Amino acid sequence: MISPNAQEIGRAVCARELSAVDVCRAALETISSLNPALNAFITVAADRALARAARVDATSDRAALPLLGVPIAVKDNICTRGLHTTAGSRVLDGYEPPYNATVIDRLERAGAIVIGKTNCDEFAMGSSTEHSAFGPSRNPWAHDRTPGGSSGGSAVAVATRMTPLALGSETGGSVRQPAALCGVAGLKPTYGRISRYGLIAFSSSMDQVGPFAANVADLALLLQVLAGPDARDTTCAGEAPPDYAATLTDGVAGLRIGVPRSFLRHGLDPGVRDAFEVSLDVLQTAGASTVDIDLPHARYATPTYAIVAMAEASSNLGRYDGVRYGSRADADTLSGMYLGTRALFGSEVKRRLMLGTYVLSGGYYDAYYLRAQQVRALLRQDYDRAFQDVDVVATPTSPTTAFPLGARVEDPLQMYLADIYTVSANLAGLPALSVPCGFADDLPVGLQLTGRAWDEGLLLRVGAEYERRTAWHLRLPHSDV
Amino acid sequence: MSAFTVDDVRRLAALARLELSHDEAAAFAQQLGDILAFATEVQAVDLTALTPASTVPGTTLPPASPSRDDALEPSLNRTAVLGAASGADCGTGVFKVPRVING
Repeated sequence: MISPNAQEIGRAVCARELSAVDVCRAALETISSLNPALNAFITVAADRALARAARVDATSDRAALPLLGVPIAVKDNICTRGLHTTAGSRVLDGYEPPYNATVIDRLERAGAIVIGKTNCDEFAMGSSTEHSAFGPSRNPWAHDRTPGGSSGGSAVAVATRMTPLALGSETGGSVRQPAALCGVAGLKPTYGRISRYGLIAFSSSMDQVGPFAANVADLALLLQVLAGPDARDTTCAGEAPPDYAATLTDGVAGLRIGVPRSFLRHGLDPGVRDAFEVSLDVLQTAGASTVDIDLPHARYATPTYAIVAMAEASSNLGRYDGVRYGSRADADTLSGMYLGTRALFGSEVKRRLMLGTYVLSGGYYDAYYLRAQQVRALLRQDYDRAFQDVDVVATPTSPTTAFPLGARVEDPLQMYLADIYTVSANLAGLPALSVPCGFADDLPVGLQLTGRAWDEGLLLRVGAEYERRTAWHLRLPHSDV
Repeated sequence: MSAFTVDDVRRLAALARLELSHDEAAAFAQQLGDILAFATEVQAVDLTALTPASTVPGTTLPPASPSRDDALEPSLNRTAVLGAASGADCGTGVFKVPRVING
């Protein structure tokens, strides 16, 4: 197992105290040892990674590369040139993109080594990684539990220190929720903070690439590399990001933390509630104050999210027709080819495509899709109003700890409720961070902090202060669980 | 009682270019009905506080430059792009598909 600290790896490789090849080999050994049981990776690109590490070691000009030699796992819905990219689906099995996502180019320019592609729910649709066509991933804290999803593989990779960093993607909590269930840090950036070019689309008004790390300082480092303008994504913000590391040690004295207590009344596991309340005590001891706030439309966030996400997915996944890439069914007619190819979708994707089609269809568009977008705007107004009185909003990330494999996979509504605290930030376009804040029944619990648009720096500052006063982020799952 | 019959599901599937088995259609009829009933909660929301808007909430900053000169720039390698398709003809640069008319 290599150091969990990406900054330390980068520094040591830059100073030639460690070789990138040795770091890469150590990561590959850990993956080889743990992945068979946990199924975090769909593809391990050992030869490619080692070749790149050798090039890093041969590079003499290395000073300004913040992730030099750092291995990173990448969710398999992010395009990597020439490297198998499936989005967890048989529809893209065998697909090798002809281009890199912008985030991959930025990682490689920063000296990072993409070591493999991680497992995920098919096309990022899910909260447990059980809807992957390549089998579920398993929670390293309890192998009979899910790691959460849809970025479950990436969360597992960091939780077990197969890699110190990973990329996931967010649409409704798919970085934060698995981060919480696996005991690592995960961030959903403000919509538009990180380029979506090369992120396989699910719901285009909410999708964002999101980083995972074992600690907040590394999360800030990774965000700094990923964030920034991109002419190839017209929804990407035009302004350069601030220096996230500069404010990490500023503390939380005087900060106001809003807690929407009326929204937390239902369905919250008692052990999760207890850990959450203790985390608020820690922040108050550090000088922050807590304020009860009301988000009146938060109770409608999950149905709103379901409508918007399904509608946009039904449009985005229309491109999987076997014509230009991916699997192609043999058929005598074009329509037969379409149907045969799209029969490869899993059941969750099919459900969402059909309902998405329904809510966009004539006679139903106003009642569902338009109405959902209007409720979405009201939810954003709730947050804007709350942020007049508070600086961050705190909730548990997930209402429960990791649930058993198979418990919800045939009950889609129960599965959707896993995201009840996360989807609001996606709908409102706001940044949100999850950090480990304790355990309930020996399973990790996450604290979620939501901030104003573009205020990732403040979230990371609060998370860093919380880490300085606790040790949850240092605990590792037992390798023999 | 689900809002969807098996025939409704088959019609939706056809719109979404999906082909379902009988068992799938039956299972989906109940599941889609349950999810739709849940989603229908949004219709209970009072919208009087809402002001009209033309953008999706959350997209607050404009892109770096909303337009660029209409000038040729490098694009993806055509061979690589065609190589990702099962039925591409690199010589002519087309994606070949089965019969369209009367298909």
